[in-house]
Amino acid sequence: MTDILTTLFQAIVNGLMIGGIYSLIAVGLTLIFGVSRIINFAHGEYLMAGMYLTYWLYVFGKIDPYLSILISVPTLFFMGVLTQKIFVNPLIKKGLLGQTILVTLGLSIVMQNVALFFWSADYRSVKTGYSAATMEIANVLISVPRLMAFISAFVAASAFMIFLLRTYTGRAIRAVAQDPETASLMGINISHVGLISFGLGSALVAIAGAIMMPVYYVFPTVGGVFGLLAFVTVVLGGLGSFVGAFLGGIVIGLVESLTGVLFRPEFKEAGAFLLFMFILFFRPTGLFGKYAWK
Amino acid sequence: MSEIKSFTPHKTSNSYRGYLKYFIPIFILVMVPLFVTEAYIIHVLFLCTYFAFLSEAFNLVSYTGQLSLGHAAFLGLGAYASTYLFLFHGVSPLIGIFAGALLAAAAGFIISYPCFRFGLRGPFFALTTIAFAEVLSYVFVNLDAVGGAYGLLITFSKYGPSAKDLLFESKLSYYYIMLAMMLGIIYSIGRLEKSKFGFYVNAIREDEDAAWSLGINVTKIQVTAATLSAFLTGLGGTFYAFYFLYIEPLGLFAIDRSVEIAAPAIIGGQATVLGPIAGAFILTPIAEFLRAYFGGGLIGIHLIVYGAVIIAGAMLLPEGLIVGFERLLKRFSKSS
Repeated sequence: MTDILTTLFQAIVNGLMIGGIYSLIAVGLTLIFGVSRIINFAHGEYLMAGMYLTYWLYVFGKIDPYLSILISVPTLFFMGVLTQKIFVNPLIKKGLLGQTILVTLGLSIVMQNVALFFWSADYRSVKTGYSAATMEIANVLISVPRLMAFISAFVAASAFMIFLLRTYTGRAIRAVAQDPETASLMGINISHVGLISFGLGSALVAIAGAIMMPVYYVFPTVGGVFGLLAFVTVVLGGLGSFVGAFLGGIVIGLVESLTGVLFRPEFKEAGAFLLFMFILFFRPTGLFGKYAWK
Repeated sequence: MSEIKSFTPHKTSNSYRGYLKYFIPIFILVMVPLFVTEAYIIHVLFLCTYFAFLSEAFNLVSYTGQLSLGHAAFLGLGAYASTYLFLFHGVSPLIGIFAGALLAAAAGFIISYPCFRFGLRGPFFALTTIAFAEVLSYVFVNLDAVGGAYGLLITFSKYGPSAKDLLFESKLSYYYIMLAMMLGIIYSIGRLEKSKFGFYVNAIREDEDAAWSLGINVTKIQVTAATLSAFLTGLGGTFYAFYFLYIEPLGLFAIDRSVEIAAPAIIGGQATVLGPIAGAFILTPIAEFLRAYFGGGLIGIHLIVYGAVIIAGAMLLPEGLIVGFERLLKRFSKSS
């Protein structure tokens, strides 16, 4: 009996930890959606870019993944701003919001295959001194880098929430997300806020990418898996809801981990996708969602 | 209001000439293999007609104003069904092809009915179709009855050549079959576009709420279009298996396949009859040339071009090449 309980606790702990990372990725995705009303199909590929950046900084510069956040966050922020400026804002200006699906899809294909072209399909990981460190609490093994990743994800997401609630830019972002027209009447420059939010959304996945590297692999299509899971998370939490995205990530992490333990490990992701379709059909606004999907 | 003009049927004198203008390109496509015998060129021609066919099938969903990014699921189901029946039960693919297409159609119905019934549109429909193909790839990886992650191999030397098993020695036979299928689907969808169904989907694409208010059962039309599209894509699946002689779940159900099916229609023009055909005959040779030039090891190189072309097309020619081309023709004929 205690064995089963321990296994279950172990699964819950593992699920929570990976869930924290999902949360961080999903918060970035929901931010971009909330402000510009576009679904960024390339979100996972920005994560991939962040992971590769962390990896190469470690290989060539011997920079610790956690320290590399200082470089990868501004880089990805800049990439995000450029994406919004070059691809998204012109389409919004022309009223072709529907075309953004195709553009971000095209971006994701290009980024994936450019990575494949330059860095091959190899799985690459960063082996730090603490990669294999574990600690044990009541028979439950906790991987130290995973715990650190969870804590960092939590801190980053909390810092982002405080930024949204307390700063002028944060208020502007929330105002645009609520009602773009009224926000622009109040003197908020919408396209400027769009740039910042795409930049911030990408910066958040840069953090996620960096803290994942000690425990995870990077390969060209890594973004596909995490990008899809981010969609699942955002849909579960409710599109445009930051709290929903954060809690959704934790739920998805738990679902995945428990599916793995209760059924077969191979069904982990299938479980998450089935949950996704289930939510879409039966609770399309998600847990905290306000937007109807039309 | 100006939109309605383009939906009025052509005058009878025009429609005869309308068919005549297709004669020359068809004649060229039929005659080309007589002058070019290089197997590689025939292979590229086959791929052009093949993706033209698949993209035209995909396009049926576009007619209702939706984007599917999971057509690899229908392709894969069609391929798996006919290959499984052939290898393990000795059923000729001439029968298996319909079994596969029916299975794909069933899947198309199962996925599209709840989506359209519960109002999933645009990006959410696209995401659901992606998730569906992903789930299927996990299922097939774990399905040992059809080879699991290794997939299924059709050993040509063991079964072929045999016309009733769709195993031909020369690629030319595949090309002519696919050409016939492509012409068939162009004709059928051309007819469909001019029928009542065509008017319904046009109304739905313009404004769903308005279409409902006119008494069109939008859900029914959308589900019918998606199911038919899945059926036709399933037909194509059998040819995937019996042309390449090898299927495996991770490649077959990958989003890359879905993009390869969707890209010609997106570039050429969604919801136009000739858009996917034009797109396929432009994109496929580019992709094949790149593949040949950069070597087979770099599978992704043609996808970089697909991605870039999709971005450029979406930004510069949002309605697709065909519509842009027609506009150019109109301007030209007006000025002369």
